[in-house]
Amino acid sequence: MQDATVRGTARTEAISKRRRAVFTGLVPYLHGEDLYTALWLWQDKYSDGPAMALHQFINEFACLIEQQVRRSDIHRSLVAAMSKDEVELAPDPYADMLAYRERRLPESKLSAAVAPEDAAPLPATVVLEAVLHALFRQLDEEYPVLTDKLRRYLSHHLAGVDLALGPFSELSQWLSGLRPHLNHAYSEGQMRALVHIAYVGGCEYLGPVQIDTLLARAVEEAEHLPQARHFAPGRLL
Amino acid sequence: MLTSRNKNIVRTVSALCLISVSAPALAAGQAASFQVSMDTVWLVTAAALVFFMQAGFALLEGGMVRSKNTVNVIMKNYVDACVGSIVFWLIGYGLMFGANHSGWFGTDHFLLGNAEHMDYSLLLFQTMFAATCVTIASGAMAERTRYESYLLGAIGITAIIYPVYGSWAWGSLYTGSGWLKQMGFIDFAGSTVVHSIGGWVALAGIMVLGPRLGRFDADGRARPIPGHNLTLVALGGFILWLGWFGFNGGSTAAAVPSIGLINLNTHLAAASGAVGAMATMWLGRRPILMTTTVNGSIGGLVAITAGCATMEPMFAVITGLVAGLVLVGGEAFLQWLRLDDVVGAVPVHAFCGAWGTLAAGLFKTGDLFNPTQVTVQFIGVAAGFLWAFPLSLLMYYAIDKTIGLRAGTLDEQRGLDFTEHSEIGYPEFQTAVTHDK
Repeated sequence: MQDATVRGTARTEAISKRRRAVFTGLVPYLHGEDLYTALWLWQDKYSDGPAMALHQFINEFACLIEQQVRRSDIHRSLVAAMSKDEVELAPDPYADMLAYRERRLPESKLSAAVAPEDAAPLPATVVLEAVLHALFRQLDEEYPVLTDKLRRYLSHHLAGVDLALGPFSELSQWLSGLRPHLNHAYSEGQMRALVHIAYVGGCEYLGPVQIDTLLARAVEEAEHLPQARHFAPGRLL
Repeated sequence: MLTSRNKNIVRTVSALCLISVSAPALAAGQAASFQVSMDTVWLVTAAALVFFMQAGFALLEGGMVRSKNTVNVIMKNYVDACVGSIVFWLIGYGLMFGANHSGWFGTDHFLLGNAEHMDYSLLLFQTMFAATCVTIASGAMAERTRYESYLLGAIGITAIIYPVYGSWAWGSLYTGSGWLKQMGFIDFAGSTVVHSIGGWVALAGIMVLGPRLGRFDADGRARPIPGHNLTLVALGGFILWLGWFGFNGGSTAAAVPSIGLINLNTHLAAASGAVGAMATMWLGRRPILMTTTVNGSIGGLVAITAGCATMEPMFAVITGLVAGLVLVGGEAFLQWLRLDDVVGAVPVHAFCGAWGTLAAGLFKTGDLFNPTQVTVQFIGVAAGFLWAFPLSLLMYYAIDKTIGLRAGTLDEQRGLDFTEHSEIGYPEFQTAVTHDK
């Protein structure tokens, strides 16, 4: 358990360092709205991605932004930034990214907008809840002792996910059974991180073989939801 | 007038007369040339058999991992053969077999070219050995090692760790000699030189990596993480067994009659290794696992590799039986230490290799249980450990601290096939998909 906590903290630090590297690599070529659009795209979709996803990231943001960019130059710049020492990197832009997102919320091109409390949840949130719920239900059926343990594990490790206060407390309450449903919107990266923490916890308590099966089944179950047509549950993996 | 039949008889008799007149000189030259050709054919064929062992390792290890890591582990085996061969030709062969005046490493025959035909044959054969040594770590470190980092380690093994120790025990083919060889160390085909060295590297690798997610529970008990295809494991075992006839038989480097005894001993030790492992499981009231049985036969093969040319078949059987016991005990010992060796490479190669090297000293034909020889064997085993283990520990530690050795936990969830190669081993038959399709 202690190992997993250490790994969670290390993961957050690693993402922060990679975010700084991406920022450092993009700054010479992008600015203003385009820069933040690219940074949020990376944060939501590629922060947990494999290293070779860099090409895919550049191609995707080049389609999103208005400015014409030379992809090869940006790729070289990103690769160079990724190999720099921490002291050479620009500071973490996360606070500025959050401020930008708040300013741009109504017309944001990004999927992670925060839904109002009383609005219907976004399909992605419904899918996330369904996957986690199916995972806990299966655990309850097969290993009842472990369900609460895994819920607590997830609660304890929420700090490892970059969450604003609202979603953080909503998730904490939902995991403690004080709230029936999730309503906030979460970025794809955040949701993936949450499912992954549940997976790591499952490995600790149950072993990797069983949790592989349970997680795959939970995702399969969620695929039958109508919301799955808008947000495929597989994107949480 | 001679008939056509009589003409043929005359020709034949004339030819025979000619041969009988020049026979002694011609026969000696032709026999030598024929022997060289036979040696070359045997060595190159044996090299091909040893190369085929790479396929055996790939299948054995591929079957022992979960389906989401199959491509990754097979890629490691495949690329070990590729990268290992090039690096061994560049540096390894010279360090191992080049002129060795100090007794510690070879100093020429790097980037071998413009050489004698037999040199090329020997390089080919020895390259396959290097590939075997380097690929041992891949299975132990499976399912949680970054691909690039693993390859960097493989280069270190083929360039330095394996050939330097090899030069102590086997160098040189040209001038000078290794210090262990001078002491009378017996390791005919490499129980220690190839297998224990690879096994100690694997041990260092798994120590730096740590266990896979969830391999041990909170109380330290090992959780089984079964391989996805035991048919592949068995086929891999058979292929390794077949390849070993080239590994040991080819180590004569010549087409000589002793190959029969060598390969008989090889076969008997493999068979008794499996029987020894099964008997140990049975006596320990444990299920008779196929994976452990196959590993038992490989343990027997590893153990007999040192002494296959210098012991009688009865002792080959004993060597194999004890190897089976060492294997099962070694697996339990590693689990007790909470070390996660996915395929059992450390007990099979390191522990059984060490046992086999001692057995070569104990059971030497005409010089049974000679304490001097056993002491020399022990020195060889200890030198192998003291060279390979700390150095590879340092190497993997340095890799871990610089570019990172261990894959992230998300990669473990998704499987290294997807995260490291963007390829899935069984795209149509995955039963538990834990990555985004």
